[in-house]
Amino acid sequence: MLEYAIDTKQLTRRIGRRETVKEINLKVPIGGIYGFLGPNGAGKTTTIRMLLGLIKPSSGEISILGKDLKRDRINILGEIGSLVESPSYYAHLSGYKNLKIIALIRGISETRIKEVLKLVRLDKDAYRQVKNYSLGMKQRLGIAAALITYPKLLILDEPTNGLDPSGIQEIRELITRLPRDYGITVLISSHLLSEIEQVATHVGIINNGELIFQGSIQKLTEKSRPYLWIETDHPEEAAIALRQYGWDADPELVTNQVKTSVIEKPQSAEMIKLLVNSQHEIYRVAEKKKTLEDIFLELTGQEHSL
Amino acid sequence: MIFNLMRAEGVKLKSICKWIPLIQGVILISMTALEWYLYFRQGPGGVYAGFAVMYMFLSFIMLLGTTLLTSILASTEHDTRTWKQLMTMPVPKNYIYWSKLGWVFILQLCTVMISIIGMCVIWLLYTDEPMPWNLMILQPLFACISSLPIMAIQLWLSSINFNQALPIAVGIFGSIASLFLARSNSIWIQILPWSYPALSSPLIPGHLQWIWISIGIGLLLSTACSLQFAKREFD
Repeated sequence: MLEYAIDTKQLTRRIGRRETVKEINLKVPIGGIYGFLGPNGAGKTTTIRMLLGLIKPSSGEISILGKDLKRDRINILGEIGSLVESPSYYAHLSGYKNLKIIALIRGISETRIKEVLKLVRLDKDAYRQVKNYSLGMKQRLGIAAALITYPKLLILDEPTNGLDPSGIQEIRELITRLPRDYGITVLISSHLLSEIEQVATHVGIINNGELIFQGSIQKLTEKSRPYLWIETDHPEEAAIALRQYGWDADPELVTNQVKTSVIEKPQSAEMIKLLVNSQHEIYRVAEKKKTLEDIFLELTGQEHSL
Repeated sequence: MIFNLMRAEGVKLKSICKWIPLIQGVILISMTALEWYLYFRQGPGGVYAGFAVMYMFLSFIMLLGTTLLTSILASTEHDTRTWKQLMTMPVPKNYIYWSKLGWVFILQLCTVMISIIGMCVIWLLYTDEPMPWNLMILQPLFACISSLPIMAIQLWLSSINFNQALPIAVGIFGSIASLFLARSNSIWIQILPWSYPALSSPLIPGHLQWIWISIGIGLLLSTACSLQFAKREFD
């Protein structure tokens, strides 16, 4: 059985000498929601454009739903719904007519137009000109356009860009419903981890054109194990004292702290008792957990940027 | 598939595109009638001189109309960046070009119809001479058919340029140049596609060869442009 909806091998895109996407092996499991994360300009949109055949890869292979994109572009596109960057729409037409254009090209019945309009809650505004829509409504129209064909795979590039919190919430609910109710695999890109965190089952992180992490969201959260930080006068000696008793401890000289992965209450009490007994001054004890945001910044090496 | 694309193209057609054939027709007929009435009414050709007068405006109006129509059809996609959405439709990319070209041709055929009807009405109102159907129908129809190569070039230019200044400038220069190119004695200048509409009037001897050349070159250019269009990467 097919394991991956999207499977790329060494996918690369070169512009002149610069590689905007470097040898990416994207593996998007069937039936999952894959969060494609990365800071602005990391190569997310370029990758997505290659997946949709909008631009050609310089080298590498793309297989979507088990078919080779180069040979089967039209068949593959028939099974994909997509929204790339800003939503595309004809401003002088109504929302309904915008969808009708897609329905005509793809040979879909008009009843389906009403269905998707209802799904994205645009049924009341269906006959208004799109130029009078709010940004959120345009974005929802874009999602309706992507969903209209009952796609097996949905590719959404920054779908919540420019939406207000309630709009984001709405899209999030819609996206989580899709695999469950319709068996659709979703690839969703974003530069905001908090957004992906709440919907995705799998995550890929891209930075400077390189895929620096790929795996389940659990694998990513594992990296956010909590630590106990003990601030003391001589961290080095304190760490040695703790290690003698079999606890793992690392001194942090800059901040005068000792870091340990032991966080259970009775054991921490033991540790502190030991340090106090061996004449160490304890100023503070705190448990710190790395947020996914920290891990993301750490992975993308951007923790020091503005 | 191409039929579905054409239908979709029809839905998104801006209303100005539907007005352009009428505007072209009205301008062509009124200019012809006015010019003839003021300067050629008393001439040796009599009412038949009207067709020679029409000839002076026909290629200019046909090519200018083509320029405007292709530019508007392409701008419909440029304005809100819908090329990328179109290009992810499960259809061969060059069909998208052909469907737009098809519409330009259909709309220009409407211009032809309107011009013919207009001329007939004026003819009936003004004179009792028998209707010269041949000239009446073939002159505008041939001008439309022979502007096919320019339709292909203009549509291609408009669709690859986000800024429409260049395609429109090329189109306007081409429309103005049409009559002059056709008058040249050099075959190398006459063979330029801008001269075809002016060379294909039934008033010109040997016009039929130019119709066939227009169709041949037109199909060749459209195919080349559609293939290049399909290769392009759209933002």
